[in-house]
Amino acid sequence: MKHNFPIIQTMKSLKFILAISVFFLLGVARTEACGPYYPDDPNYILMFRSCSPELEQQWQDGCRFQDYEKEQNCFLWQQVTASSIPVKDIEKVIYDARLAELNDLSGGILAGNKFAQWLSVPAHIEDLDYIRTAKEIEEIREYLNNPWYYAYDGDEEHSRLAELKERCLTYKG
Amino acid sequence: MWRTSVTSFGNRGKIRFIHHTNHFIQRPAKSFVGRCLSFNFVKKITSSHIDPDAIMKIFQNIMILILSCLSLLSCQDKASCNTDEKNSIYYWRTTFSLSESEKEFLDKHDVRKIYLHLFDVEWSYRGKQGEIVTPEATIKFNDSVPNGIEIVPTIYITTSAIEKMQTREEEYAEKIYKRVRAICKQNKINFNEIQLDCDWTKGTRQPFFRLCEAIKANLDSSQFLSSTIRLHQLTQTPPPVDKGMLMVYNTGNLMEMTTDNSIFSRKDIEPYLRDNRLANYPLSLDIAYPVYGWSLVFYPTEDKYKFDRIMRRTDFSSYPQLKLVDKNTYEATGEINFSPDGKHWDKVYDKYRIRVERPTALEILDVKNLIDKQLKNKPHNNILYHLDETQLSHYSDNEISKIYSRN
Repeated sequence: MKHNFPIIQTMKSLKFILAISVFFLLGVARTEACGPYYPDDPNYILMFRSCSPELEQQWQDGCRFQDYEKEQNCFLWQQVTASSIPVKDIEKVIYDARLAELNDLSGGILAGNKFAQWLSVPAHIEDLDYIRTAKEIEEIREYLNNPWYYAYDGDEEHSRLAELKERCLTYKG
Repeated sequence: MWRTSVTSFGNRGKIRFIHHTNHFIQRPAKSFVGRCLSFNFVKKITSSHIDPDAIMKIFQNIMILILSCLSLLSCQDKASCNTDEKNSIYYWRTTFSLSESEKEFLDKHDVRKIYLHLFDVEWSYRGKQGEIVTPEATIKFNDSVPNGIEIVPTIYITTSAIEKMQTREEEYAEKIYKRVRAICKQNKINFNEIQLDCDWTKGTRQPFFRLCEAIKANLDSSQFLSSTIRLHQLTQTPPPVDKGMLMVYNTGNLMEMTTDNSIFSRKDIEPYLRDNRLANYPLSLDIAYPVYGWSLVFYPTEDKYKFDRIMRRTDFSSYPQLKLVDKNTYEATGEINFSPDGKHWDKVYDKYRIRVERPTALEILDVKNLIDKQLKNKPHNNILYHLDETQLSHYSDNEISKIYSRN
């Protein structure tokens, strides 16, 4: 199966194929009963994103979470890791696995997964760290939208997000 | 048995007392310790001339100190360590905002504890964000909690929610506790007690009890768990909590036209209290009495009246179209719209009946007398349900004081 998609020319690091972009855009950090509400201070709201310029354009155009976007992202991962890794295995790690499941790259739902095996190689620790960071951010964000979540000043979720933001911003590649 | 407790007396601050249940000696511990450490004490024990009376006094004091320490060490039941006498009231609105008259009420009656309803836990078929058991009707704070008032976060759990929690009680206990803690942190509330309110029955008893156990596992050593106890639950094993709050209200079936007063009726309450049941109940209890009223609207069908809705209004004196047909029941002689501006639908039609329910202080005190007799050897607090100036305006200060009084 051959897929053509533009190679990102601006890529600075092969290790960090998809640079983490931290955009200070609209989003929702605190849930309200009705909406939409726009934040008083856009800097307070963080959106953690990782995408190529093409994917970013799709995001801007409002085409979020479409299958082809998902597929293209997996192909991109395949291209910069190893062509022998099945796209399905990449999809499993990137889209299906939870953060806790990445603790066991050779067992659980990732048993026999070629991409998980690739990530477990010591030389690829930075890639694994990237995925873990992204997943942690996603899971915290997911919890912020959970009906059980109640925000308080300095709560652990926002504190952790701030830590992760700093880590992302200081990353030099 | 010896017990220590912290008792608050109005604005005079907290004074630590040592209570003896037999002789009820109230002795400020501070002054006792102060006495022991006083110069005279040191002088007496170092003096070469030893007065036998002084030795006896010192011996008595040392014994008191030892017994007090032992009682503290043996105080394993958290609730028994928290039997402090405080006038308390429930707050059950979804916005925390106190009017001047409500603040005045709290002050006047020296209310030092509020059982504050933080949120409900409900089940919904559709769920939210993948959660089918969710918190609803979370309180919003427009006011801060007045100084000197202890808050007891109170969570109402519907029976359908408790059914759906089965096998996942630990997960939900953590969610409930975490949310209570977050709400309290954000609103600068320190809490020592959490109260669960659930109308559990034989069918839902086990998951509710497991939830109680799981919540207790989340509490820190200074916190304890209490639960409301409904009258029908008195015949069953008490939940595994540190303290119970007997709800002496909502005693009848509000949806039945034949019910005399669904909020509070001695006739309905008495059967639940037979065989000296409260005296023998194995859980330490406080008692909650209703100080509220409402009206229930019924519509006529061919053979009986059927329940239509609850109305907050209880004064119908300005509606001549309503004819009193029983001591607390009106019948409409035509269409009436109760909406103040007439723009909203709040109507009754010809032959509709309205039953006004509000327990009088006399009725409450009558039942209180019955309960106090059974609990004469068990110290307990009387709590009011609930803080609302409109509702409380139907009771005089003297009546409220009598309901609060501990015999």
